[in-house]
Amino acid sequence: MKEDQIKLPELRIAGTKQTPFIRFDSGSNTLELKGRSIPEDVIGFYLPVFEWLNIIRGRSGFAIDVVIQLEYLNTHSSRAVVDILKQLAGMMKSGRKISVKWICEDGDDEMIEYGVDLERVTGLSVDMDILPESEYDELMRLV
Amino acid sequence: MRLARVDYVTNQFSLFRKLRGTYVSWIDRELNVPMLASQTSEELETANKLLNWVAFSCVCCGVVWAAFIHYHLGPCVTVMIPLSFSLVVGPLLVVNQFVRIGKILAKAQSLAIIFVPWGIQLSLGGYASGMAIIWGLLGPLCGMFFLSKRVAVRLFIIFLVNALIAIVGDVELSGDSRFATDTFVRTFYAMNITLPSLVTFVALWYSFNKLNTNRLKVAELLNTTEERNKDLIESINYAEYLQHSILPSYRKFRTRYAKSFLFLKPKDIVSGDFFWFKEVGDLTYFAVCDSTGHGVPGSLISIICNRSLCTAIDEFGLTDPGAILEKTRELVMDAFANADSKVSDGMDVALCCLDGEMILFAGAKHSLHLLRSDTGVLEELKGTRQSIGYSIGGKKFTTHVRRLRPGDRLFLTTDGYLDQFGGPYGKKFKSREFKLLIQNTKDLSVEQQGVKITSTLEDWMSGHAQVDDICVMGIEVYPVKGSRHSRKVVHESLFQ
Repeated sequence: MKEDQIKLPELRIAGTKQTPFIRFDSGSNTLELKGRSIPEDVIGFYLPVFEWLNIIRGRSGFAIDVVIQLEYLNTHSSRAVVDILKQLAGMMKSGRKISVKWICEDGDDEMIEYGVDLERVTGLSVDMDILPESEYDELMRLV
Repeated sequence: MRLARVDYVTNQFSLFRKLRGTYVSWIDRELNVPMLASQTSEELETANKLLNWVAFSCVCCGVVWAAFIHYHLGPCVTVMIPLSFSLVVGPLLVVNQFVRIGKILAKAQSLAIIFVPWGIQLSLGGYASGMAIIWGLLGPLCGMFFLSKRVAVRLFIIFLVNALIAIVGDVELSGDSRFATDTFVRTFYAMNITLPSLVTFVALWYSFNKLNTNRLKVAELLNTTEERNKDLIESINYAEYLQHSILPSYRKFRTRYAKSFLFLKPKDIVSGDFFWFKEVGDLTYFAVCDSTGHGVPGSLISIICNRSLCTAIDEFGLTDPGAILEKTRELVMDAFANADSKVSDGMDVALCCLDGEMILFAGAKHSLHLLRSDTGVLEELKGTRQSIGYSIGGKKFTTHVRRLRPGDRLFLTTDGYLDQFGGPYGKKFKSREFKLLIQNTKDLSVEQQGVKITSTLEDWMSGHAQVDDICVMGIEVYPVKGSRHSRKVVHESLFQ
């Protein structure tokens, strides 16, 4: 087994009231985004994620599961999320398996439609997971 | 039962751990910093100078005290006590001039200054030692200045305990006091009172002076910041005034359509959301628009979007809302044609065209809510999932057409209202709730509904920050017969 196939680097950004919790767990190879994304400085906030993407781009191997549960994101954040997924879609072309799960609350049409848009814009297949309010909140709390 | 007991114990234990955690974090936060927190290198330099100065004075005093005792009492054990101070702190002081060992020096200084005079007092007894123990107060003081609050408290407790032992015990361990003359005792008293108080006084003077200078600096800084802030706010206020003069005014709209309301609540002073309307012949266009971003950038975009909407109607003679949005999107993208990189800013919009008894609607991500006067049914006409502005793979904007009956109400909203966090769990308001609100208040007049919509949101968001600009409008229509669009065959197919 090659050295660079052993593990991908960890990524962890603690969530706040204004910014989402972001984690890449190298054990399960899952990239999680949870919470709200209304940072004042969107570019600065998402910079570590893009740096992380740059590191893993060169590495071959493991499939990555992306799980996104965002309650609200402002226009500029949504651009950042699209960029992240597009970069992952790029890696998919070079052989990495990527799966995207988009978790939203039943009745939150805005976010549901957003997930559908993501599929169209990024070219990844997005697995929509529409949960009833209580389950959605429970999952959000597990951050 | 057994299990419950285990649970209880675990709970107790975790409660203890929690309490301990709180306590430790309090200590970390509160007590691990010096009273005069030195952050900048300049402040550290100052603290180091002060420490050197205090340690140097005490080392000198140690030598003088030893000489003094030797002179009066002859060679005896007690002479060694003050000398030991100089022998411990002196070398550290010298080393500190070359290698920074501030923490060690401060600890040695504060512990020695508590224990050495205490030793003198125990050796000579309270009277003959001239209350040498007074020196000990410099210990906690040093802790306060150079170490942490926690250390200062501990040093003070040590000092107090020492003082009590010395006073209650009142021992004369060495018996050297039998050589003490009256002159010796009086001079010793004088020395033990003057010198420590002098050191304390100068150190306090020095630090208070420093504090005061810092306070003045901070006040000055605050002043400039406030002034700059005021300038900024004034400039933004003027921008708001300009924006207000450029964008169509709702007040003018209201003179034509009295049965209407507008709820506009900018997040900052200037708004990215705005109300828009235009009358061309017998057609009335109105819209709520949501420019990307908010505040000053949002308002800049709002000017471009307003211009583009007007141009699409005036210069290109378009009347169909879908076509108008299509053209507007082109114009907005053109406006950013000079940009070095792709600018994807623009707006989301709900655009209506009131044409006699017809309403034509096209939306960019926004919907039109149509409340029927006769049936009380609320219909949502969904806009196209496409913003005005640059994006990959654009979609065509669809025009919806409906025939209106007298008393029908139209509601338009930007997403600021629907996405506002609030309520008991800090959740989004959501469009389902918005539709329910409209239906539940349908018996009120449309203006009253506006009041209700405003107050509901204010209640909802109490204690939560506003997420985005908010713009909601409602209007009750009494259409006149016939319409320009209905005469055109091309639109006939759109009618339902």
